[in-house]
Amino acid sequence: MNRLLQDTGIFEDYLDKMKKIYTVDVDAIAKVDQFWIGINVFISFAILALFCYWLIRFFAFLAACRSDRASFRDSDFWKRMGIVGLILFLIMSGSMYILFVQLYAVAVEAGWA
Amino acid sequence: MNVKFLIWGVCLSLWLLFVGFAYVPVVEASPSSVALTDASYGIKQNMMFASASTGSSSSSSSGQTATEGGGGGAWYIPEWVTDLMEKVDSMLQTFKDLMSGKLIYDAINGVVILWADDTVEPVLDLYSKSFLFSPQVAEMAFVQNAWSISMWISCAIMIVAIILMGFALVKGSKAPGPLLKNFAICFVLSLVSLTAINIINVGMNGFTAITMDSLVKDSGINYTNIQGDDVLKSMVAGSKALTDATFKEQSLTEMLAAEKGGIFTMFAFLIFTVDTMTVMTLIKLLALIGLAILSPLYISGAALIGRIDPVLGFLNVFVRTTAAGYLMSFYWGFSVKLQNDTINQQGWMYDLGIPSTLFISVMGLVVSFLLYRHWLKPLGYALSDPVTLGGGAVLEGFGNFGKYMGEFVSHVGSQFGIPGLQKVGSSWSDKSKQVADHGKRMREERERQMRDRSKGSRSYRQRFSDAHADSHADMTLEPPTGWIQSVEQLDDDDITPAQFKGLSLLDSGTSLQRTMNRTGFTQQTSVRLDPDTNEANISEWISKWPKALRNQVALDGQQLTIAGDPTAILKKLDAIELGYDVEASHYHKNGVTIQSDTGRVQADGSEASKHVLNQLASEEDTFQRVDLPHAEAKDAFNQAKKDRAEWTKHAELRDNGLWVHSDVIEEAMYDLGQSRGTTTSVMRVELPSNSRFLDDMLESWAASGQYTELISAIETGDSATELFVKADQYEAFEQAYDQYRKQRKPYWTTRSGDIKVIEDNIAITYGSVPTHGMDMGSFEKFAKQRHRKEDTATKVSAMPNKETKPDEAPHVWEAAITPIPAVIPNVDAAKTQHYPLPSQIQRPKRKLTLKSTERVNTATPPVEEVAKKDRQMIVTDRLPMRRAGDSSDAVKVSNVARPARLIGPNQPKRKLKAIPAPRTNSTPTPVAEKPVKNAAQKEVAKQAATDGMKAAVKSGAVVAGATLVSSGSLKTAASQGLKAGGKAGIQAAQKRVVKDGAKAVSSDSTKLLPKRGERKKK
Repeated sequence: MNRLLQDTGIFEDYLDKMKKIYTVDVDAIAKVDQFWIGINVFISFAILALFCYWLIRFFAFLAACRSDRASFRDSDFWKRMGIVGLILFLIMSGSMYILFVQLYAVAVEAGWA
Repeated sequence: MNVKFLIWGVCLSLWLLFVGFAYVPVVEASPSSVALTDASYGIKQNMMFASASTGSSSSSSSGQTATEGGGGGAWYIPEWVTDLMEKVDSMLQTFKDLMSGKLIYDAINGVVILWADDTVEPVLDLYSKSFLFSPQVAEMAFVQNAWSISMWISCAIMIVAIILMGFALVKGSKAPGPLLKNFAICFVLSLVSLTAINIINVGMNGFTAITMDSLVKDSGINYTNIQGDDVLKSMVAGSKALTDATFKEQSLTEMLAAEKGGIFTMFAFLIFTVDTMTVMTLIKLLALIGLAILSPLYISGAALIGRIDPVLGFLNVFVRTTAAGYLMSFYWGFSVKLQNDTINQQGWMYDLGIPSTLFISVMGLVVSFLLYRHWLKPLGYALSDPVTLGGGAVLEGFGNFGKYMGEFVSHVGSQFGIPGLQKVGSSWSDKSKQVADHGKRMREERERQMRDRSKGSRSYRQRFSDAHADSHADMTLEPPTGWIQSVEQLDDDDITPAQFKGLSLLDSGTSLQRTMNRTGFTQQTSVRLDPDTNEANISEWISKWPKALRNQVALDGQQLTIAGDPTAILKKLDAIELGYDVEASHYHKNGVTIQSDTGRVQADGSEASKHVLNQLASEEDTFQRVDLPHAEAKDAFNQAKKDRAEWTKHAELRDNGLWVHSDVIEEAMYDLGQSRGTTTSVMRVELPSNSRFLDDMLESWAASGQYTELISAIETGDSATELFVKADQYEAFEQAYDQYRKQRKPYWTTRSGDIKVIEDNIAITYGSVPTHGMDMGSFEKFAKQRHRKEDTATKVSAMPNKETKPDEAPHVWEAAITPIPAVIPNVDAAKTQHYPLPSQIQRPKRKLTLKSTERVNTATPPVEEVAKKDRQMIVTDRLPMRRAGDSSDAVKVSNVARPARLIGPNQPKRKLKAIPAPRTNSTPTPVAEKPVKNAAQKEVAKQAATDGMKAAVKSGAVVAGATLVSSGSLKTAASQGLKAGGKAGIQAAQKRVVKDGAKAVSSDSTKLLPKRGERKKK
């Protein structure tokens, strides 16, 4: 299909226009910076609270295993903790943005603008 | 003498003047005025005058040179004469044009064309930038900014939601699977939303360009760069308008006016094509920009509330908008192609002789209708529901489409004997039907919500919390306990409503005559002539009358019957001073008679007469007479006037009784009625809030036939959860209600259209509506109620004074066939020609202790029943006395026959009933009672199965491998492996059950056994 469209010669211009990635315009957001401060503070505290909670649950689980109240092989627990740990890592370290930046770089390499 | 000299003098001087000029050399007129006939357009007309004037001025100079050269021409005609003749000629031509209308025609055409040109001009830029191709919205700076902001908002909200979800995950109260997947997908989608929109936008434009290239087939045109007027011109003159420079000079309206049909074609084109397409292009532009900006919000919104319909609704609107843009450009391309064909004298339009520009205009109308039907209307629907953009309806539409396609495939399969295809088709159809049902429920629930919202019954905060109420979906929920929310006893004052007999227009004389003529009645007057007159003389006299008058009368002895307006004939009788006596004068129409002196209406009860009466009641002021002795009626009326009853403004006390306007009769009935001195006790029952099963319940009781007595004692209220039961029937009601409940499974509907039932205190999704279901209404509302632990304790409260609707009013049909008991002497017609309205005074609402929410027609007993009782009576189940178009009550009336009202003589008095305590034990889960294991047992069984499987695989594999190595036969190895695996699996499972089973059973028994104290109580 793509070949067919290209053969007509008309679609090529459009194909170039299509290969463009639109990212969040940071300048536009910076203009209303005060607006975000509140929510940023909330997110920071919430993520900290989640991290503390995660640690508490983790050590509580270890203690429970020691006193034989829980099984160390509780795969469900590890799965849940693992996922939340990953989320924590992605958000707290900012790796999420790095991930997207990497994806963007890959796309640019593939001919996107 | 002086006068004669003067005339002679003037003649002489004129002669001298002529002779003197005759020696001046003759000029040959240059034929510059030939251009005069060449004008064809109004615009050129202006130029024509200009050129004519310059022509004539140049003619004199050229003329002189011609004479000097001694050019030919009549030498005897002087130049100024030729000039004069030319001017006279041109004047005559102008005069001719003026008289024939050509001048005016051209002038008006010119003006209209110029004006039309002005109207088109402002929209030309829109056409050049947005009509053929949708503009690349993602490239617009303000769209990027706004998108960035909305993207950032949705990003922040989603991160907050993910963190909250993280808490739930760590706590272990949520399963990570689908939730995380939803979030991940929606997060990425909202990030790339503008890019995706750009791809669709530009791709569609590219597709449009290809389509145009293949339609127009004129290479060398850059479609993206066409001027606005060229876009429109090419729809009139084909693709040449884009390439040929000669068209540049002409304006669009000039080109249109030169087409067949002239100025009318121009108007058709401007109105049907240019105007409609302008509006559509504008809406397309706004919709695209709005959708691009809001896209991240809709996607993240879908993730937050865990539902697909906002995304579906968004996609639906977006796809429709881009498709609408494509359709518009396709219309353009097709028009250009048609014009090209017509200019080249080929194509079907040329063969059929259809004027192409007119056809294109009509096509513009068709295209705009299509756009309205398939784009604007869905767009409007989506906008009316801005949260989900009508996503439920989209799902339903998809499901229905899939269903029909599946059915079609299945039919094809059966036709050609391909069972596989048939099977695939029918399974496809089934699945699609499920999808459609789900979508339908989604839509209906959403619509119900919107209705609630429009009533303004819910606060903004409630709405907001409702939007997230789906989080209740997998929560532990107890089934409802208070099956009767509240009961209260009410006293219903037993009033015999006033009776009405007799119908009248309360009008007479010329005003009545006018009314009657208007409504198509024919007048008939019987006149008794003086007994002394001779019949033969009279008939001879009558035969001399004009034919029209003669046909009006019929003579029978001394009795003269006049049809139609009797005035002329009575005047004739007066003129010969013949004694006569007008016996009666009526108006007739289809069995309805109206007395001309009193306006009294009588009917023979036939079908035709009913029709006439209905018409009369809806179009004219009709009055009914209160069936009370005059003195009593007068007292009651005066009392009501003192109380400032509204109806008294439309009532009139006459010698023959009190007449009340038919429209206010319902209000008058109770005011004029008499108390029987008794009160009826009625229980007002409030069913679980938001439930919707009341109608079904009453229907099923009526259908079963065993509750006739109970049904006659029940009436429904305004809301779907309120009903009134006669106190003596309340126990029967309770029993019947319990019975009904126990047979049914209560279910709730979520906003996303899922059906929920509660089993083992957990709300689970039920595939479809249960066969014997009980519609409990909105799941979210129920969950919230439960969540807040709203106590559904029964309350007894004082009866609020509620506005009531009185008993049924007598129908005009009945009123018209009941005779007035007393014959009353004639009222002075002059006094009552116009019905006087009393002064406008308001009265405070009367305090009624009557509790009744009567629906007007429900009070009317079934037609057959009444007909049996009283054959004379005209029976109807129509609403009584409603003006045409007044449907305020009709809205409430359902087609289900409802029980009658509770008013009747000898109601047994009852003491206030003790209010039944809320029945907590009657959980409505009549499911098949199979032995259900408790959670612990289930867990053990699950683990046992896992253990068994693991062991089986392990040992089976070992044994099979060993056998394969030792024997070398694959078959033996497999069978040995299976056997060993099975054995090991069973052993492992048994081991697990022995280990944990006892524990689980014991935990079960401790839970189920009632406590000692409780048992004792029982």
